[in-house]
Order: sequence, then structure tokens, then C-alpha cells
Amino acid sequence: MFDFYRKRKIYLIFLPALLTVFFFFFLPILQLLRISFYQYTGMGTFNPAFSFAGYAKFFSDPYYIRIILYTIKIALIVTFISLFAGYPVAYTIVKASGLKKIICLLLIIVPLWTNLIVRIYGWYIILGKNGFINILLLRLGVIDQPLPMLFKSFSVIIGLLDVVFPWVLLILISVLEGMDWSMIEAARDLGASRWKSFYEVTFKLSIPGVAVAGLFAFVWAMGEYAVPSLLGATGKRTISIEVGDQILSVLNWPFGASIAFSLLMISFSVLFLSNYLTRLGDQYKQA
Amino acid sequence: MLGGIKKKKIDWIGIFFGVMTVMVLGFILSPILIIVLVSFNSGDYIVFPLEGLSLRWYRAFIDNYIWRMVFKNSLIVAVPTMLFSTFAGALAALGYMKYRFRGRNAVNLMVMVPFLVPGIIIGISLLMFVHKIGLAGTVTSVVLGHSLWAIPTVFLVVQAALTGYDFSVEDAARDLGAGPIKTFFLITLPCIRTGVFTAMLFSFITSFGEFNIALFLTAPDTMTMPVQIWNSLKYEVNPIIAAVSTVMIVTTVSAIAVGARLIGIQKMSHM
Repeated sequence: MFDFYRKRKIYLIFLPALLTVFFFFFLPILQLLRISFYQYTGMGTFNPAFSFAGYAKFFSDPYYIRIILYTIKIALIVTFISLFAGYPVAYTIVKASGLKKIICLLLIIVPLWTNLIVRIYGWYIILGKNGFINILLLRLGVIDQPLPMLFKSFSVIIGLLDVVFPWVLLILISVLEGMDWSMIEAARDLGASRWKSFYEVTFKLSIPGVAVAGLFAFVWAMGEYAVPSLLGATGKRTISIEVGDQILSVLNWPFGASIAFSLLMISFSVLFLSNYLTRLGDQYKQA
Repeated sequence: MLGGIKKKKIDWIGIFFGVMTVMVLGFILSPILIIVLVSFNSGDYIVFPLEGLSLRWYRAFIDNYIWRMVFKNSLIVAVPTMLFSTFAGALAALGYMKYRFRGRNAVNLMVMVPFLVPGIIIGISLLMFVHKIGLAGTVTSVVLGHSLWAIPTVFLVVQAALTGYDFSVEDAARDLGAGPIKTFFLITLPCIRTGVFTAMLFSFITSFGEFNIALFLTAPDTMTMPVQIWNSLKYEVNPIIAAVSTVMIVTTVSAIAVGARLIGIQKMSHM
């Protein structure tokens, strides 16, 4: 009896956190879903209804399909670059020791926690027409016209890489640190070359973890708003830019809600897949 | 040992990996370093090479009414967010680490889920929600929005700090006759206070620098610093932003330095 009472009381400790999430996350998301079915009646007004018009428009109008494809394309590019460039870095840091390792980890954690708007501003100064890179290249005589680098897909990719790199690196580091390194040593002892033991053992064992890092990078890159809104080209819009505009300037909340909810569903299905892969990876490790 | 005689082969993979490490870490640090550098620029515009060094843009920041207001607004949002999310998140982390119970994974998922959702979706769904409940444009709405991200932050930091903490000392205290409240204040709290303090710092910087949620929830008079930076960047690249940004960078770096000292960099990177 006492035990039962105690167990019920355990849940109280989670109450403040769970109530906040329930009232200010789940309820608003449900309301978002409800509004996404409303009917827009122009000039920022709408009627309660049950219409799929917003979703139908978003997934059939060629204008929006182009936006969806562009967003996916950019997110895929960012995911692949971050994995290919991030893996060697994570590997080096895992292998490093002492002060070197601590400094590397610090250099990842500082950008991770530095506010994103500030970092985007830094890219303005680096990539701008009179920015650091252009002036450097002009002075060196490599170019005689400033390169247009800002407000292009290029600058969006740079900005998104800046967002996802710290996360991808930390996920990859924890994946590599959790690995059974004795197997790699065994491969080396059995005569495998350095490259072969790396590729056949280290790399293949880490594939599920790399996939998880990739899925996270993809979701982050897809949903990011500040980067494409400040670094993007006017003609090339992403899903989140479209959401922001519908809510803030067009004031078509039902349509904005339909797009936002679609984006949320895409993110959730990707994260669901990552959860599945993590479990698959655990089974793989046990086998 | 014949190993020493054998000619050492050049470790190409090692060199390639080393170069990649320098490049990637350099890449993510470059925007931060360049801002700190140009914030001390003495010219009217940001042009390279810099004309000279001065503190004029910091002076301009302090003298400017709007920047002062948004700085104050950021603090007005970040301090309550820090207090509330540390309370809610640290309790949740304690319970999560201490007890094994049915639904433990569900609790973890519930607390963490807002962290995994794009900021713009949290921003707009809360905007619609606070309109409905009459909190639109208030500081409270921004604090609640930021808490959705600050609570998971605290939850992770306190969990990281609690690894290695032996909960059986609490049982020992109870067996020796201490009540639950006495046990908490005399045993649990002293043991976890560095973790909780670090979590406070991180929940503060989570809120202080947050943009996506604040953009949708703030009104002109409750606008926070990142939102004002966003507004300025839309129209002009004013050097004051570099000074403002450097203040935010220094805040973040100090919080990390204290956190690294208190709970260790390894634990911080394993969250």
C-alpha cells in the first residue's frame, strides 16, 4: 500500500514540466491542426470549417511543389556535406586526448550555444559584396569583380551548414565513442591495413549512428527559418519562409497552418525513422 | 622490437582528417570571430582592412534608446524563463534519473519533443494560441515559448551532471531519520547544485539568444534583442549590430566557461 502511494507520488515530480509541454505545446499544435482546416475569407479573416483546401493547394499547385522540392534539395545537400565533412572531424576528436580533445569540444560547443542571428550576421560580413572574402580575393588579384555570394542558394547552404555542423559533430562523436574499439584493433592485428580496418570495421559499424545524425541534420535544415529568410534569394523560397509570410504578411492563417502542419508531419516522420534506426543499430551491436 | 627500424609510412588518412578538422572547426568559428573583430572597428562602415580600433560602436549601443530597450526586454524574458525552466526541468531530471517506473520513456519523449520541432512551428502555433487565450504580445507568452526549449535544456544538463550521483545516499539519510525535505536540502541539493547552476546558465542563454519563437510572440514594446537584430539586418548592416552581437557572444562564452569548470566539458558535450 505504501509502495503504491509512493509510486503515484513519483509522477508529481514531472508535473511542472509536463503541464507546460501539454498546455503550451500540445494544445497549440492541436489548435494549429484545427485552424489548418478553416476556410480563409480574405483580409486576415477565416471561418471555422472542415476543408482540405489548404493542404490540396500546398501539395498540388506547381508553385508550392517547386518550394517543397527546393527545400528538400537544399536540406539534402546540407545533410550530405555535414556528414562527409563531419565524420573525419568526429573521428579525429574521438581519437584525440587530453587538452587537444577538450579544446576541440569547446570549439564545437561555443558556436552551438551562440545565438543563430548573430552567426548569420557574421556570414553577412564574411560573404558580402565588400565582405572579408571578396576584399581578400580582390587584393590577392584572384578576382577583379566582387563575387556575388550573399542572397543565393550558396549562402543558404553555408548558413545551414553552420546550424547543423555542431549538432552533427556531437552526435557523431557520441556514436564513435560508444563503439567497440577492440574490434578495430582485432582487424589491425589480423593484418588489415589502416584504411581497410577503418572502412570495413569502424565505418560499417557506425552506419546506423551516421544515419541518425543525417536525419537530424535534414530535419533541422528543412525547418530552419532565420537562415533562408536572411541569407536566401528572394525568388527561391523554402517551406518555412512560406509559413512565415502567410502568418506575418498575407495573414492567411489557415493556409499558413496547413503548410506548417505539413512541415511538422514531415519532420516527425523523419524523426520516427531515426528512432527506428537507433533501435536497429542497438540490435546490430548486440548481434 | 623491429617496429622502430621500419620506415614510417606517411599517414595520409591522418593528414586528411586533421585538415578536415581544422577546416570544419574554422568554418563554424569564423562568423563569431569576425564579429568580435569588426565590433572594435573605428570606421563608419565595415570595410576591410579595418581603419582602426575603437569602442565607438559600444558607445553607440549604450547611447541608443532602442538597443537599450531590446537589451532590457531580453533580460526581462530570459530571467523568468531561467527560473521557471530550471525549477521544472531540474525536478523532471531528478525524477527521471532516480526512479524506474512505467511510462519513463514517454516522460522523456514528452519533455524533449518541443526541442525536436522547428522553431517556426512552435512560434506560430503559440502565436495562434495566445491570441485565443488573450496573452498576445505579452512577456508571459514569450517566457512560456522559451520555456519549451529551456526545460529540455535544463533536463539534459542536470541529467549529464547527475551521472555518477549515487541516489542511495538519500535512502541512507532517510534511514537515519531525516525527513524528505531535510534530505533534499541537506543531501540532494548540495550534491546537484553545480549541475543545477550550470543548467540555469544554459537556460538563460537559450532564452537570451532565441529568435524564431520571439519573432512571432513579441510586440514592438516587448521585442527582444535577436528580433531587433533580425529587423535591422533586413534593411541595413549597421556596425552597432557587431557590438550588440559581441555582448551576446561574450555572455554565451562566459556561461560555457563556467559550465565547463563546474560539470566538465566532456559531460556538456554528451547531452
